[in-house]
Amino acid sequence: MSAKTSHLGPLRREAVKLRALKRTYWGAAGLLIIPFLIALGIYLSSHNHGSDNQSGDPTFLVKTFMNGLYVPPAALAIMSVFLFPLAAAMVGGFMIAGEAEAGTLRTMLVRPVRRGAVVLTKWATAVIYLGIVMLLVALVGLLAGWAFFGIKPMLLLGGEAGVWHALLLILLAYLYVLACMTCVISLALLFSTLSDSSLVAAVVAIALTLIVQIVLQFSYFKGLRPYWFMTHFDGWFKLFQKPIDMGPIRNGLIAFAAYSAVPTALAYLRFRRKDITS
Amino acid sequence: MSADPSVSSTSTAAASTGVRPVVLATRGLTKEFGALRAVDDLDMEVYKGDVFGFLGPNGAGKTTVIRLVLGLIFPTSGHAEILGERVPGDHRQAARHVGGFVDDPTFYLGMSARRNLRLLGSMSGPVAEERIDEVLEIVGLSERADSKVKGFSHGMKQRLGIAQALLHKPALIVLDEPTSGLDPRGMKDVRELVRDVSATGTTVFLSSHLLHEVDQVCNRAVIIDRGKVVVEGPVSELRPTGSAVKILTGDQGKAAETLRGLFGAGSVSIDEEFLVVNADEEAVPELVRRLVADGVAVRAVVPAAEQGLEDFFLQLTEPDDGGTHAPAGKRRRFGLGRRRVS
Repeated sequence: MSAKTSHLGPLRREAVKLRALKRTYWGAAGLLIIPFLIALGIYLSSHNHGSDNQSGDPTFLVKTFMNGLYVPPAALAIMSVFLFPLAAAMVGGFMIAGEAEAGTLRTMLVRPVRRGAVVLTKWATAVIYLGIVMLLVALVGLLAGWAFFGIKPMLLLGGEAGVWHALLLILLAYLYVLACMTCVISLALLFSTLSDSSLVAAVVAIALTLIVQIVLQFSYFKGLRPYWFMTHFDGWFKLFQKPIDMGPIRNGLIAFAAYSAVPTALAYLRFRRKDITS
Repeated sequence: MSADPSVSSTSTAAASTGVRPVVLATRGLTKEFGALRAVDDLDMEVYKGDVFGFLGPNGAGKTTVIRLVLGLIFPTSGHAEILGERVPGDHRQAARHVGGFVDDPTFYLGMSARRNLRLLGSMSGPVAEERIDEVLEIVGLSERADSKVKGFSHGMKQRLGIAQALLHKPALIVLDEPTSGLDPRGMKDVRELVRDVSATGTTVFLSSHLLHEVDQVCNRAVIIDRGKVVVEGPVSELRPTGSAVKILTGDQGKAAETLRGLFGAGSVSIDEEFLVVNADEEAVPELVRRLVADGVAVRAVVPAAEQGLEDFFLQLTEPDDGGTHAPAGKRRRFGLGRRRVS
């Protein structure tokens, strides 16, 4: 008789932990409402103001944008300014400090696990979690857009994209913003190794992200703008023009890689020698 | 690693100390938090089969030592060894030989006991479902295996903590005050559990500030104070050399007078409703005979071993006159000093 055994890999263990937390679902549910509200808002606005012309028909511009394919990019544009960074900071900050708060960090670390691997696994888990949430946001946006407006080819700056091409562009746009959010996750993870409070880690990460972004709006600091990752968060707009201008996208991805790698490396180094006193 | 079942009990273990390998050792272990030296050049050894009591007053550094041994914090100098694997350094190898918890055992509250064990156990390698059932049975949680841990009482969490410590049949389990916060029934259950675990040959390192607990469960113990070993040795020797009995009579005043005449004025004291007499067990028949002869009705005579251990502990760790502690580790008025059982 062969005994049934369980062996969960590190990523699967982290997924099991996240799935057992109610906040995992509440956080995602809160974000999923947004694209629906955006679609509803566009729909109601177009019906109130779209027929102000003398003929009573919607204007050409409004008719153009009454297309379900525009809802996911609209949701992305709105949510990538604050809500996605907030979600990234929350999940990144929770990863280590949340376990320290609950006391489970010590339960885990008395087992034969590599601390460095714990950090990297938690980073990957946070990125995957946020990626899934963002994908669901896009899907909810598409469904709501399809329900309110239907799906038609998408008008781009300088051309038009068929439905499948537009869907690919939307996917790429979301991946680009996810790459940007990995920087926030990395910062939150770093603060998560420095504090035993997940709230502190998340707040510091989101505050740093937004405050630097605000400070860089002053012309005095404009020379620094290219070096801050959030400067590039809207680089995905370039995907929706023909031909695609890859320069800003490439610069953004380079900045995202740097801002993901450096804080994660610091978190890795810090956590390997951290005294677990929680 | 499987525990060796050939070592069947603490008494057996005590009888064979001469040949037992060292399971856990600390070598010059020191930990400083800023200006505070929480653990100070600590050397101790725990042998295979020991139920080793780790005693000390609150703030003595017990939990810090356990965190150092389990690799949760890093020493300022020195190291620990678990079956020869150094901590820090070979922590992953060492952790395969040890199970346990520090402070209160903690779990993922939204998961069942079984899922917690599956999750935590998988960090040490594949876990057989049968083994999970087995450890839940050992700690008496089989019926609650699929209940979420957030509904568990403190005692159930302590028992689940022991279950997770046992999952991979480690050679050593480290328990940090496992009866802390439990009611008398829960304390008794956990102590019996520790005895059962020890009976399978697993070495147990038991931190406690309850002297009678160590007295009941452990064969060897160390007392630390301010991070230093004050005394180490068999539990049977961790008490004053003289023994004492507690006596309850129908007339305590007259009994005290008789006993002072028999054993000397300094040998009789009062502990609540009892008279405490510094006398060997051999003296008890004569003591009772004299009391009865003087017309005093003897209602109870009980050993005051616990009292002696308590006194010993306090005298080792209490502040000197003037409110300052004597240097930790300094040999005090009792004759044991540092003791190595070889």
